[in-house]
Amino acid sequence: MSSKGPEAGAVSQFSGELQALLDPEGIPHCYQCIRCNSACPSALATGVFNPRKVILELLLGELPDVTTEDPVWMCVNCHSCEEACPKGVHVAGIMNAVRNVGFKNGVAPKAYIGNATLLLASGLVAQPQGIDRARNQVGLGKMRMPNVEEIRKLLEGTTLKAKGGGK
Amino acid sequence: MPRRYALMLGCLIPTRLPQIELSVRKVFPLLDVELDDSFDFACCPNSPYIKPLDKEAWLAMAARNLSLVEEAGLTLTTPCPGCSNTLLEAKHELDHDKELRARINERLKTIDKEYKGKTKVRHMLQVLVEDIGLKKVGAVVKDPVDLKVAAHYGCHLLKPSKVMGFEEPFTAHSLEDLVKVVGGTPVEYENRDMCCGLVLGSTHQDGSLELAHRKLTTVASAGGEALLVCCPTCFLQFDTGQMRAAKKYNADYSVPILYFSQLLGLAAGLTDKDMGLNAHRTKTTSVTNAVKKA
Repeated sequence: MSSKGPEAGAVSQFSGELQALLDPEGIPHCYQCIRCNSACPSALATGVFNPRKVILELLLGELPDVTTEDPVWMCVNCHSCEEACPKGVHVAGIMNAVRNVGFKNGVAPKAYIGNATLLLASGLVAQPQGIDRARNQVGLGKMRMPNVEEIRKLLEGTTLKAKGGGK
Repeated sequence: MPRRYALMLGCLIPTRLPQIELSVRKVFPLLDVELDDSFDFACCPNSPYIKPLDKEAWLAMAARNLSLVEEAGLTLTTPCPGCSNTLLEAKHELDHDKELRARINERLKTIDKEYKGKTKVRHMLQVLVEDIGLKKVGAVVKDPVDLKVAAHYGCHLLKPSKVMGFEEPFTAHSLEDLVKVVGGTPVEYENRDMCCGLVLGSTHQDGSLELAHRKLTTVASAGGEALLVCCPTCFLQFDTGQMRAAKKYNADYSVPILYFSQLLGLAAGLTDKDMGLNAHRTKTTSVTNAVKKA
């Protein structure tokens, strides 16, 4: 992660949700005890994803410049970190807020964009190919698909609609 | 009087794992549960991919799904913990932040919907153990399943615990209780509470298989003859992913995967075809052989 404007104590420079997550009562709750990392399956399995470090950078006032290769995308939102945190920090919420900023700049790994594209195309995150065959195999009929026009209308003006790919 | 619920199947179950859909449709009516599938649910949307991209869109779609059930006054139930997690987390935020709710309702107004906060959400395992109760569940067991079964709860059924409001993550016991009710023996094993790792596969394939390998190895070495799950993501990782992990690690785990309602259905006298076992990738013959026909 590279940094943008590392002014000390600059939590307040972040607007909106990210700041509220870092600094819920005017005091940053995280004291870097590393229990989030110890509980994290992605940290365990990859050796490169490090939620504690993401939070440290934010506390130091560095708004991460998220790239598609950034390990922050390895967070699977399992909430193990939040169960482990002695201070009640919304660690996964912070990982999401950071990635939301990245996606606003059009940055996300292919698999994420793929999910968004499928969602915008059908209202479900599912490849259309092979559904009928899978259902026939167990004796189930065609499934009813959601009203995707309504979903697209609901998402009008969102980042997801603008940057999620597809038509 | 049957209990009625609004059934939300999610994306993965009806499209990739219809055996899970089949099993809940066959098993829950045996317990006097009526599943109303007439609602126009879309993707919940999932928290591993859509929430990290755009939380506002995630909230809007979740609020739409919740709003669909409000008029019917039913409790929403789903076989997918991804769905129950998204809906309960979104509900938690919308019910505790008036400004946020007003903003999301502005958006919902464009499609003539409104979120009022009335819909209750329960995963189907929670319906089974809390609403119906395992005593009543035990009454439908005809053919005991004499099998050593390891339970895997996954992440989103229980976490974050203060929002999910079911069992505590590290002391959960409903799946083991169900194993006992159907005549099997629960198996204790290391790593019970570890994530399945499927989602990690989209950014780190090796890490994902490593998690599957650890889990399946400990289940097999603890004597587990089947792995019981309550989540389609975990099901995919351990059923289809088991073949990939076996190849990479040159291992033979031979651990059949069962969704919890499939295990109950077999014990209730339904056939392996009724439970869609023919659609599994990892062989389930050891499971069907363990069913003691009355």
